[in-house]
Amino acid sequence: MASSSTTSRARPRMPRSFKQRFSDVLTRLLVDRLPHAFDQMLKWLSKGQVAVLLISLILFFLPLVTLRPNIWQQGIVAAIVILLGRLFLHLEERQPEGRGSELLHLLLMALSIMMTLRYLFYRASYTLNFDEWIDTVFSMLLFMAEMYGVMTLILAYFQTLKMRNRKSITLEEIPVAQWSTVDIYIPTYNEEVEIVRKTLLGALAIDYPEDKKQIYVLDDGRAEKYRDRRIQLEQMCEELGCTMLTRDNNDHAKAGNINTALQKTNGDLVLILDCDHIPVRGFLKETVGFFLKDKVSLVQTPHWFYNPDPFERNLFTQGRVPVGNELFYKVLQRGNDAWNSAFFCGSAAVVRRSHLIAIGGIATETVTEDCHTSLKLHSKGYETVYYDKIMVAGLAPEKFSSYVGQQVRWARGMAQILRLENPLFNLKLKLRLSQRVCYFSATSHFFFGFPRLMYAIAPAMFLLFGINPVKGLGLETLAYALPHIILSMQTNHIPYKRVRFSFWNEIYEFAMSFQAGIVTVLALLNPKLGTFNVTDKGLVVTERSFDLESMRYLVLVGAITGASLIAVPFWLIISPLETQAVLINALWCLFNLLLVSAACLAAFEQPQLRRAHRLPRHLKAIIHSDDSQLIGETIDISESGAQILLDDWPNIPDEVRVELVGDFGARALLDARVVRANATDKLQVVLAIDFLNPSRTQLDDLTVVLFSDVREWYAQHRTETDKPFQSLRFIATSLRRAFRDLKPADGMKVRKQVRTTAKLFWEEWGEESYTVKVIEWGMHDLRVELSGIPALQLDELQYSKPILALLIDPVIESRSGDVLPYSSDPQSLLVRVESIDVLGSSSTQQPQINEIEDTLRVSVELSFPSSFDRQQRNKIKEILRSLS
Amino acid sequence: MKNPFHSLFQSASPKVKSKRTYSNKWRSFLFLIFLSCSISLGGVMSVVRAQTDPPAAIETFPKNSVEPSSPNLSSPNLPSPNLSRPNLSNSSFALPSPLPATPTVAVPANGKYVLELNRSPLVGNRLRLESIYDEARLRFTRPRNWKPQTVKMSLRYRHSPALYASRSNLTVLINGTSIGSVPLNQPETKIGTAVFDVSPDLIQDYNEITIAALQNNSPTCTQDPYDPSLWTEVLPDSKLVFDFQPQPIAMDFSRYPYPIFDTLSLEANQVDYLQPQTIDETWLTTASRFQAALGRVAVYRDMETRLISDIDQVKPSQPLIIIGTPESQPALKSLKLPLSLKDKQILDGKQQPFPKNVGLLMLTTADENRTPVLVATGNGADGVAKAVQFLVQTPDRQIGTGNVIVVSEVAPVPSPPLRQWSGYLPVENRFQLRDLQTYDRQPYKDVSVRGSHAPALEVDFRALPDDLFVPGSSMTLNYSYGAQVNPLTSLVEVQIDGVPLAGSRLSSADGAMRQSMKIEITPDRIKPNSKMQINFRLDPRERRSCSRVTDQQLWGTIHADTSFDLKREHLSRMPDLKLMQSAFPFAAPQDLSSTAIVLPQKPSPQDVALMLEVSARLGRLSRSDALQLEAFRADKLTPEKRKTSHLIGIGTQAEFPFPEAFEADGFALKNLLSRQRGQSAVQTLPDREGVLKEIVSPWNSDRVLLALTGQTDTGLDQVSHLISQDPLFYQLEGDTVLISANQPNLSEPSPDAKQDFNLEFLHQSPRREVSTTSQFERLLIMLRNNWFVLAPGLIAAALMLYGVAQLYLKKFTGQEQKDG
Repeated sequence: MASSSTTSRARPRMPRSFKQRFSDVLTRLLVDRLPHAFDQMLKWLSKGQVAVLLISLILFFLPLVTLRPNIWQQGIVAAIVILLGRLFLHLEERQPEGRGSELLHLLLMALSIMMTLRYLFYRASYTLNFDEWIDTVFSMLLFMAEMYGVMTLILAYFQTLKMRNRKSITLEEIPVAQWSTVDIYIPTYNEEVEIVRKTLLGALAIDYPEDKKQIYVLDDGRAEKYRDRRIQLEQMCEELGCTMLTRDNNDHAKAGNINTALQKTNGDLVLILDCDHIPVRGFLKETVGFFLKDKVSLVQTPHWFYNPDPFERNLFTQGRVPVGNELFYKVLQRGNDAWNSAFFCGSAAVVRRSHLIAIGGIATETVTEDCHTSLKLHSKGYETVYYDKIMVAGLAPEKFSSYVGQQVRWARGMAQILRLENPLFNLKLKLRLSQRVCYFSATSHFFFGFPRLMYAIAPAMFLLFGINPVKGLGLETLAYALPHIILSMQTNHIPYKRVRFSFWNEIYEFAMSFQAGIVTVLALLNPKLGTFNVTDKGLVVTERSFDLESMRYLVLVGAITGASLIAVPFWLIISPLETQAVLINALWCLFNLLLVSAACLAAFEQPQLRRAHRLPRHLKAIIHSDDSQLIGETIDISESGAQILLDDWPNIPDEVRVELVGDFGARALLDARVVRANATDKLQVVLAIDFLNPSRTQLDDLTVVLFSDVREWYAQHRTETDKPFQSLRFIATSLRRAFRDLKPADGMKVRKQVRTTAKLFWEEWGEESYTVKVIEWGMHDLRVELSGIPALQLDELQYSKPILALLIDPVIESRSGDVLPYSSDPQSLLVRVESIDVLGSSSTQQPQINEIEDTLRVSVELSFPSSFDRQQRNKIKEILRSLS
Repeated sequence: MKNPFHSLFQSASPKVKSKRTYSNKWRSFLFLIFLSCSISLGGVMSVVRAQTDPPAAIETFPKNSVEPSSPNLSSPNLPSPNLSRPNLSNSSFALPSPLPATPTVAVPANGKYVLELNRSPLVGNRLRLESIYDEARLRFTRPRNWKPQTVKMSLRYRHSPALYASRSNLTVLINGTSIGSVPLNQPETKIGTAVFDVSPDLIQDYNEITIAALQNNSPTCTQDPYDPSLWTEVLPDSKLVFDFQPQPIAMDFSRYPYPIFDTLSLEANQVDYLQPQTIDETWLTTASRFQAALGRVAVYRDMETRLISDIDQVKPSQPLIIIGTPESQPALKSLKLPLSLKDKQILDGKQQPFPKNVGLLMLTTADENRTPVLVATGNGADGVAKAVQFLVQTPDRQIGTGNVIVVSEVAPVPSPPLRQWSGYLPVENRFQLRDLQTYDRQPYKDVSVRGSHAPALEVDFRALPDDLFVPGSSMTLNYSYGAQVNPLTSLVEVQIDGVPLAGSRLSSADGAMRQSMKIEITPDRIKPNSKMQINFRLDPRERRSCSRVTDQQLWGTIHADTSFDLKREHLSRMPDLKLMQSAFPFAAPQDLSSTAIVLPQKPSPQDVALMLEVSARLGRLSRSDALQLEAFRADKLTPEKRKTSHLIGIGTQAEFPFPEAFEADGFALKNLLSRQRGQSAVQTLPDREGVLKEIVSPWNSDRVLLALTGQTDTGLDQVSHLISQDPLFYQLEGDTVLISANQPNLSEPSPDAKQDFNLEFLHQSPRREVSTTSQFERLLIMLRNNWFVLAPGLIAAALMLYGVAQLYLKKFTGQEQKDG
């Protein structure tokens, strides 16, 4: 046994070292040698010539694309290529981010494109079904959907070819007097004043010379119903010391609002913030430096939401799955930036006023004014910068319907741009080809709707009606399709692994498919259609409900898909010839059903558990209790409470004062109630605290600490990476999670540990009283130990839960057991019995009332009735202070 | 293996250092232009070439352009015909007037001919009739010059003893007219004989005998139509006996090829050629063309060819063919010709000699009017060639009449495209049923069949020998069918060579019009001799009492717009004698213009006979409007011709025109009756075997050389048999065939030639792929045959794309930085 264990331990080591060496050699070959060889060989070619060579090579390799070996040969080729893709991924995993990873990505891309072309050729040559007109129609529709898929794949490849990682340009070396002046615009319409206030506080806290920064709230809420809100807003601006700008019409919504303000203010740069985007302190210092280059007209930073979006909340991803926009901000924008085509995203961006005015202000023709504006900037030859650091904390739409509304607006706007500007072919735009491709990719992105639905419907159509959009669907089709699909997944895994998990794309697309499909088609037909709708934010979902309105058609698709699975056994029995096609369609249906139901669940609104959203921030927290101070660190924190990690179990009462310190030293002091305490694995203590009635100033301080005083938002780096099978399993189990009962957290109560005695009186006992040991004392309840009480009386106490009188002795017991004099008179309090735990029988030792009856030693939980709170509160506090 | 870029780069690198940019930029630019052009051209070429002619055809065309008015003889060592096209109105010549009477072949004595039924391949050993009602059909022809006087049919038959005599009988019909019935009432195993008189008027050129049997084994109802006891056999010695009176044969070109070749003849046609004094290229070429033309007329009919050296050797009523000028064929003098002959010159009506480039065709008789004679002559070689060319070009031949034709001009017929083989699948990949031809070379129309056991529509679906079908071929069958079919049991099905491809149920009891069914055609099914059968299996919904089928209301139609979509490439692996069965590659193009037959310097009669057999075979296997076959003596073959043609070499080992053929690997004949195979060498005595060997031409790897040889003349005779006799010829395979007769007496080859000869097939030379398609397709084919290069190829492609793409990105970033 021993020998086997040693050999088994020794054995893996040998191959591992070999494996490592193999990987190293291969990596070096692929990442260094091969590119170097090509560089040497072709260095006498110019850029254009290399491009021609590339195209010639693709033509040259066409025979490899058009070849159709028999099925098992293709199967072997597929297996080899997929394994090779896996090997490349393995090599990439061992690479630090950067050039090596980028090159391996490129290599995988080349392989993937070859396999995709092979699939396309096979699909177009052999599997289009023109037997019946209905087959023809569906076959062509599905093929077009697939063509769209391939197009987006290629566009995505292009956008991730290179990704730019910008470092901020410091302003330190430039005299402050020469720094650009910045206007901060906060456009609002109908959002809650409280939300705007936070943003305003963040803007005020931005670290930039006071005379160089001016803050404007641009209120567009002119309607009568918003009159009160506007008055409140005015008061707030006055209170906080910033300017409120209004206008006398609502033309062109947000774009018009900003354009009007541009006329009224005169800073060099404009920072545009949505009213729910709270900026961090360093926003301007990190971004303004980029404007030292004259051509730069825009610096965009990512948007980030600190609350869960509907997908996160309703599918219970608990932050473990990257949210919808992470792919765009962490990968695609960086990829765009590499081609100088990073887009403006409407908020969290600094714009150079002169450039903006040169293009006639923010674009107003479409409902996605932001992207359209940057298109205009680019076609003027200006540059944009994408700086990948999260510097705003925003609010995602809470409800699925508002999420849909937002996406629909984007879809419509992007389709409008595509229709109006035609970025790919419009020669009037002075764009480079790469920029054209990037804009085409962005503006065509939202056309996924109908293709996505086609994927869902195709297998169901076969199983239900025998409409066969893919002729000869069988293992051979799989042998072509799988390498295409798997290699594209493998290729995308490299840039996407931390920003978009496998199959989530499909869920996002399914959830939006109908709306996106209709809206984009309408926008193509009539680009003038549709108005700017303001996304509702900061709503609270209180109970479970299903948003059938938004999901009606997808539910139908899901039902059809589910129903078609019922047909599978009949097919297998009646038509054994088509077993392969039936099984493949069935699996496809099953897969679709999974994704569609997950997408539907996104509209199954789950109640919000907390009043405010918890941010997993690690802030220094100082707990002030009496004269002592305990220093801990927050695990997470919201505007209503926090969890604080302490090293030792504290002896504190359940109401304390907490001081929170931000990353740059901003402080907030709040009263808090300790709700419970839990021990961690490392025997540290986690206190859950709720802030008690914070005042306006306290809340403002807290806002600054929470959202502004941030060095780096925790969402900047995600540690989880995509694992396709886990991702699929996670999606598959989302149904179970969605219907799980929500349980409140449990933990121990926190009260002050004390050692004193008291007397307990009850009417039923008459004159008699019991002396009890007080063990724990809190502001709302206490625990005492009582011995010698007869079991009979105990039942009565437990049953009736009466109110008792508690007389605190004027003496307390010290730790050593000495009795110390208590300064003042005995105090009496009214308490209610909450629960009684029997600790043990004590009949033999202390017969007090009746020697015959059994007496017990019990621990009693008593609470101070809330009805007497006003009268007793100060007394309780005083006793607490005297006891410590 | 050196990197292909390596050398390029090495030559370029020193200059990179010295001259800096300009020249290199130019060079790289040119390189890229070349690269992109070549690739795009490759793509275009593959499209263009697939639609037009492959290179071989391009090579054949210039010949015509060099000698535009020489449609017939292009060989440079032949006398060059008149280059300018004479004005047709001036080209008429005075003919002797009055013209001599049309010669007539004398009437032989009355004859009797016994046509035994076993002549029909259908009958073989017996003709069996089964089931309740069954019929057998046999066809026969009546020779042209016969006038039947009495015709009797003698039927010998046996039948099952179980037959119920009053409800069983045998009826014979000729051309639809009953000639008699006999009850099937013979006692057990007794052979019945019935003799029917046939009215001689019933007999036409093409005749059909129908023997129909009604068989019942019960007085009321024969329950089971498939009862094995329902049988009648007509014995093969049943016969048709003719008493006929031969008719005189008027020698007139309007009926040509009759009387030289009678397509209605019941016997093998015999043709004699008179050997000229000196065998030169004119004679060789014209004779081989003429023989090939006869082969086209004969197609499947037997034909025997003899070469005679003296006109006295002719047999009565065997046509004689004399080709040549009066000088080379002195026998012309002894014939009774319509035109006069003086000083070895043929004179016209004004007693002037015809110009040398005018051809003359005459029909006359010899041997006391017993032998029809065809004379193709002229005062010069050019004229002779023209005369023969007139006969071998179908459009010209059809306008001939009378017994003298003066051929002053023969319009050239351009070579058909390389792959346009009449009777085979069309060149286009998409075509319809109406683009195919019926057996009598008519396009198909909608075909309807009736009845429950209607015969299948059989369509020649012959792939070109070098067609290589790839997956994805399909056909769309358009059909209609009538009402009253039983939808449960009726179907339409498509077969190729009897192997079903697909079928479809006829699902509507009310019939349906213009249904269509798409059928995938398995790639390896279609062969050069394939036939497609489209079959309606129609079953009535109800049967009459006694299970009798009423089926005449059932019908099915196959529409002529049934379409085919074939995916194919052109590739053949040569040498392969199996392809020789369809005369490939010699018959590409079909006018045989790319083939040259080469004989020894001094051809022996065996050589010439073999040449005639080969020509006849090539003629049988090809169809076109004209013939451009050529024949040469070894020393007259130009190197140019040798390079551009498929060669057929004829001669014994010692005399063989291409000694190179014996140097190839594998089996070879050596001097002095010795043989060599690989490294083994033996001497055999006597070596009577004939050898037929195909190798890739040593002068052009896209051409082949077919060697017909032997150690002795006997060997050549064997080869002659191999070429001329179908049962032997259609066994050809491999690249080398050794043939020897099992019977010493070779002059009487038996119809069952298979048993009389001993054939050995050898596969020796490495085969080379000869493709008539573009390089791109060749690459595809190569890849398809070696699929395992696919994965490495894909990986290599990915690596190369990766290498170049990263360089591009690097250059792009570099420029970006420069801009920035």
